[in-house]
Amino acid sequence: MDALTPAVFHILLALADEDRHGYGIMLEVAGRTNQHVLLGPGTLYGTLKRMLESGLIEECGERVDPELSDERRRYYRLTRQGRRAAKSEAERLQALVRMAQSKSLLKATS
Amino acid sequence: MKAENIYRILLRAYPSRYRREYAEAMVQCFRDQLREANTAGKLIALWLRTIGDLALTVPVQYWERAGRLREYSPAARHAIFYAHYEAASFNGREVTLEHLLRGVLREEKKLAAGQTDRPLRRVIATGGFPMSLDCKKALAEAHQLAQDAGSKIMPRHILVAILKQDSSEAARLRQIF
Repeated sequence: MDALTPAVFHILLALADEDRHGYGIMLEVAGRTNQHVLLGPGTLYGTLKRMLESGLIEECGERVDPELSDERRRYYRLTRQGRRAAKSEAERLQALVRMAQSKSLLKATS
Repeated sequence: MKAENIYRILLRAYPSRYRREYAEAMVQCFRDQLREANTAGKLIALWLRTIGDLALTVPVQYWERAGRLREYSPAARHAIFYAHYEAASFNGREVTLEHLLRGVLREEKKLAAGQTDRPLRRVIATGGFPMSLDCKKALAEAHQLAQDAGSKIMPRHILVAILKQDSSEAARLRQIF
């Protein structure tokens, strides 16, 4: 399977534990990467559109996020295919890390 | 002028269909980011990021739109146009599965071809309607079916995808069909 783009993989990870709206995904990605990955609205929604089209995620309705405002927000969730893609990308990255460890570029973790 | 209004104007650079689908959500996100940018420095950083984001993603959307159109056979493109026409005929605000089915049937000449001006004018004036969630799923499935068959998306792929959808509307359409 081809490697996923960083934006796609970050979004899959953000949705792995719960359904989120666009801004929720932005916050989750920024928080988990110590603000290193800041998805702008254009990158975020362009990527979400492609992921919807390829069946990695699906919309799961609109509702209010009481922590933010009383505006209704569109929520997204992983599909089974999306979860499979995230798992296989994580395994691919894990194999690369093992390779880097075997070449003494990284310390092996127990 | 409010920052949000400036952002709305900048969003006009995206293709109209993409804008109809995502502009409001993007403005909502930008508004959320503005709320967090509570110092002049953060505000400048947000604008710089936002301009960069637009400069990178606007061309991508035009490129993808051109690519997507090439994936549809001419007949399938007609069917989609007819689906918009059907939505306009029923004063709809979005293209539903039923409109899409009627679009395919109209293209396959299973529905009377007669068209009246008013809905046609509405389609042209609005530039088309957003697709319902079920419609989007059906078109994604039609894309998959066409890919599996190694061909462009044909009306028959859309038809099969509509009837395969797992929704109450699809169940109703299956009974009629």
